[in-house]
Amino acid sequence: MSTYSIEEMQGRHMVLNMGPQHPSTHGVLRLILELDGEKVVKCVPHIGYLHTGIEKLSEEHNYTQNITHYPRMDYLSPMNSELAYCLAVEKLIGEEVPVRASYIRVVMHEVTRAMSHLFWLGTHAMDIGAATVFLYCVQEREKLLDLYEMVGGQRMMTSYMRIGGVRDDVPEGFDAYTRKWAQEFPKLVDMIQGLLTKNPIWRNRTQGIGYLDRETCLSYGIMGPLLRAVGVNQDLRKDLPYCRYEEFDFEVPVRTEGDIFARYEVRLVEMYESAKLVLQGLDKLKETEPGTYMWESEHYAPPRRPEIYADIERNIHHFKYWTEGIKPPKGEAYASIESSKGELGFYVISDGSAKPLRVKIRGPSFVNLAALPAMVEGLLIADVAAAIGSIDIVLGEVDR
Amino acid sequence: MSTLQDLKIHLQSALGAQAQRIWIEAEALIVFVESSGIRHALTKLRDDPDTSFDIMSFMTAVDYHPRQPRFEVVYELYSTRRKHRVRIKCLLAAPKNELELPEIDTVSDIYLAANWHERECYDLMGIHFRKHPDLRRILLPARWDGHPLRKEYPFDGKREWNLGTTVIDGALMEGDLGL
Repeated sequence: MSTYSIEEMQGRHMVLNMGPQHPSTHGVLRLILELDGEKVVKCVPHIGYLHTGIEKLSEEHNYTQNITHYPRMDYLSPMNSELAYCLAVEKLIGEEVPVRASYIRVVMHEVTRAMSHLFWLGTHAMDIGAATVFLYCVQEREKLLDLYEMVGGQRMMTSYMRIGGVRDDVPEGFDAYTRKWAQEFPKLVDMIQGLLTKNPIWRNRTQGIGYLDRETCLSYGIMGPLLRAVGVNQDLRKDLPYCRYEEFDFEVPVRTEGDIFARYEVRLVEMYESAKLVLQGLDKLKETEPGTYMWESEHYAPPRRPEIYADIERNIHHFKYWTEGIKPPKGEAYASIESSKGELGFYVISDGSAKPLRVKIRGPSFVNLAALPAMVEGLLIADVAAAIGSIDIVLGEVDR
Repeated sequence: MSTLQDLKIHLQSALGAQAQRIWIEAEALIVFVESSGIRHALTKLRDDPDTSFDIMSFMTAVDYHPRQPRFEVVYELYSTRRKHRVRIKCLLAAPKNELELPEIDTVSDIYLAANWHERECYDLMGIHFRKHPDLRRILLPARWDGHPLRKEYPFDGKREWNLGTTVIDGALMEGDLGL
């Protein structure tokens, strides 16, 4: 082992390897940092440690089977990926889902947003040193996982969103449980605000740190809370509405500071808005006809359970649907949603067979992570952890 | 630009002969441009105040094997100001020599977002981007054999993988960071 004296190291840079096993990289992200003392001179991210080849897998499975892959990308907001994929295939087929299915989707989409933001806030705060917040957030997230279990039978990888609607109607007690949660949730966010917003340690660690300007953000293709934190009023739910979002009343929070604190504030307001949207969605859900949660289609939807036993034609249809899969017409479609992290899009190309020719996933984590070097160069090494936390990445989605 | 139809008419006049084909499909406007003119077209779409496509949502490539020309490079643009989208496409033929990669100009200086997307495209689909500042594999190890998203690449490992010891060499090579 060679040793260096202080004189020798004067004016020389040190290279530090951070990750892939490092708690503050939120998974298996590896950063190569060139340091001048404690200051980061250069940052080179290395990704791909969690590459699972989901895009290649998608070409080998049929359209219905593919739904199971996508929640595994962004495992902190599983239903988002299912929803975006289903919207893309529905666009390809060219049919809208029933009204009730849309409202169920909105409720679950907003629940997922709250769930993802809760986990982000917990881990982000823990990275900076506020460990208490993590426990409150995870406790609250547990309630939402129970809700997932209620509708989808599983706590995370539900495959609840299906092409043409959702897998099943919402169960009994769904309305009461979700309504109670949505009414109580703002109080919890208030409490977390009380722990962090005016906390001088939190402010010192986040204000003016990890700044990105508007032009850089746009050029990097960043969307979602990060873009709204630099003063761009952009939200796909408002700009290019899907799932009947144009009928809902909500606000898009915009901040102009562009630092970590601004991103925190944007996401906090989004959590309040999510609770509001869930309540609106539940009210709208009451006005729709129960049982209309899925297309009534010969080609693109499975028959309902009672029909299978009553009619031989439907029985055959059921069998063919699950073995052969559906065959959307030739063509291509791109559908994107405002997921909790930014624009999550699926670009699906069909050649007329039961398997897609190509599925390209536009993951917000991948795109946002590319801007990390621009964010941290010039900062102290301790701020790198705070900056990573503020982007809100999930490596499963970065590497796909 | 209120509707896609208006945008289509505007792009037809703005891009002129560069737009080889332009049509609307599945609520999206798709434009084919010549691969040599991609930089010019994207710069124009970004800077024109009537279109102001300030964000590149993603870019990717599609393998239409065995069709010729085999590859399509796809750029999806979005405007935060005007709230509309367009999809720009280029056809790219595979070179006769199988070991050579098809080439197209990089757009990573027009949209910084393209930097990582082009690296991914090179890694998984084997498209070479001319003048890209840092064209390394991004998801797979540096010495991986082949480009997995190409149609001839085996799906379930029927072919032998020549990895083995080279994985370690690859990791060592990655250790040489070019800082």
